[in-house]
Amino acid sequence: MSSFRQIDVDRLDPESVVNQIPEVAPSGVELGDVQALESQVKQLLQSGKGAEALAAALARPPYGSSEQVKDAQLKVVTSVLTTVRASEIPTIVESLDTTSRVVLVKYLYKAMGVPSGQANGSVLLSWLERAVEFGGQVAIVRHITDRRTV
Amino acid sequence: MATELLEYHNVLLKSLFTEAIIEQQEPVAINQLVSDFDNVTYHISTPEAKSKILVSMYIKSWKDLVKYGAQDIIKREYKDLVTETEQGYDFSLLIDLDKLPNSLEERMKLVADLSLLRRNTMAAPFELAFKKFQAMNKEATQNGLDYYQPSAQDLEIMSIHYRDEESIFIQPNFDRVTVTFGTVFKDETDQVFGKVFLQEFVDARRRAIQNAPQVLYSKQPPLELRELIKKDAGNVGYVTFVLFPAHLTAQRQERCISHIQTFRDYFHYHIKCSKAYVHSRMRFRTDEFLKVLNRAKPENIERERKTASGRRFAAR
Amino acid sequence: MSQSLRPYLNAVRVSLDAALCLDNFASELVERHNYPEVEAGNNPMALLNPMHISRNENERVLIEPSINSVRVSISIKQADEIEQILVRQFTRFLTRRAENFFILRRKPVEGYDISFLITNHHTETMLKHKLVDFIIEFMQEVDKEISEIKLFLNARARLVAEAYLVPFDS
Repeated sequence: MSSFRQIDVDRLDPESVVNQIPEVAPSGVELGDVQALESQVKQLLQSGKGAEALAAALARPPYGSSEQVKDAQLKVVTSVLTTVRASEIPTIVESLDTTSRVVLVKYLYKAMGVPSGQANGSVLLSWLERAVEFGGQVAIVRHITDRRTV
Repeated sequence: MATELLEYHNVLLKSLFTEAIIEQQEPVAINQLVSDFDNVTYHISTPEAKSKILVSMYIKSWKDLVKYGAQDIIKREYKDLVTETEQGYDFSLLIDLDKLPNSLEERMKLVADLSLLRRNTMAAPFELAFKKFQAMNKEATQNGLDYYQPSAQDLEIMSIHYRDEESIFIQPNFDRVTVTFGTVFKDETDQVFGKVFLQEFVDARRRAIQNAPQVLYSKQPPLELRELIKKDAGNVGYVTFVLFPAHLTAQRQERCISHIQTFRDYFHYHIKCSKAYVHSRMRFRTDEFLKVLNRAKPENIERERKTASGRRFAAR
Repeated sequence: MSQSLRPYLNAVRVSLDAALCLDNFASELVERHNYPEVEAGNNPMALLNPMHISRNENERVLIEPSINSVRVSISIKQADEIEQILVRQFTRFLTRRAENFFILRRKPVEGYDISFLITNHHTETMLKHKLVDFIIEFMQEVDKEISEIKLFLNARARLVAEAYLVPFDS
């Protein structure tokens, strides 16, 4: 059977736009790092240091790492977001630096796309509300356009 | 909000006979086919003479009804109006307009009885069930409830296959008469809407009307009917009415029989009404959405137009 | 429960607002073609990062931006059978009129009840903030409509049942 029109010519052309997948410089974050982060964050949360826990979780986004690493770190970030007391959210978000706030927004949009995040929808939504309040719409635009995804 | 109960009589028959018998209009030649609920057709004609109206009825479940005494009821209700059955029909009545009763009252009763042809024919198994109930009830109370053992024959279930795939099952007992409707939902939407209604039927006794018949619903045939219904069409639901002695008194019997017969059509009529209501609401809401969306177009926004020097246009 | 409604709608509003910066973009793959990149999905550089906004597992919005088009998919709350049927009927009603609705997609994206496709042509001819207003209002009105219809049906069912049962004992 002839494969006339069955072949995606663009895919085979190395210069085609279709194959220009944006390259992201790997952050070098590995599974081991995430596991270490997990214990660090757990300790900080147990000592009631919510702001520090979140700052740590957002400090080294796993850009360019494998899906497995990204999922693992998502879990860590989500655990901070759902453990911290609701009343602390505004202060914590305000205390973040601009870069971390953008990373936070990226994580929020990602977390609300998985069942575990959706189950905590209202908490994540209040985080997003504060992030936009302090970071402006710019934080959202950065998420939309940044090729480096969490 | 319409909660119309369906009429027990056939409206077309009533008007036709009112004209002929009560208003005594000039007799005309008639040849009409009239339909009724539940696969019933009437043929009204004047084959012999304009003054002799032949009324023939075809009812799908005739064979079942005859088993339960339908012919006796027809003879009882229509007496010497019964005539040779027209071919293609189940029984016929001949009304001689020259031999009508004298009083208006009697004539009105005649018209009423004629428009209840279907009701009366279908009444047979119900009357039989009620008779059996009376007998069993009497015996049970006389002999003491603890010793009462109804026979299998007493408890025999009567079935009437009155529609394609739908039947009515009647079972008498010493303290109740159970009437089960096997009803078909033509699609999932009907079934879901139907369940909303049925839930209220089931809850009514507990919630508001303590003396109402108990209503039960299930997708599976009730236990007593399992033997009879080995296999159904699959999209069948079973609605059971449990009529208690209070509903089965001599005074209430006639009304009860007329009323229970209308359940299936009443139920499906209201399902249709609900669907129509939902449609019209959704259509309205859709149009509203369109209006809002159209407001997003700049040309639809009222803008004041001015000349270059700032003067406005006056409206004519 | 309604305490998370406002943040949910605001999140959709602010995210949509950011995503609706669209530009005309001719296809880089096929000469003389100009199609919504988010629908074609064949040019990675024209696609941007999606945004999931969820109030819970049943009420979610997915915004998929691209350089010349945005796809907005909504999952509507359906707590029981009758709500499911009503939502299904409603979305069918709407999508049948997709032409009139210009921004409505004929089929929802997999996993959602209804989808909108907004392209640069729409944002060039329509007011952006009113488009966003429309989507938000739509989300609220649909929920409200479904609730009201359900309430009405239950009330009507009650009346119908009682009207039928009363004559047995009178």
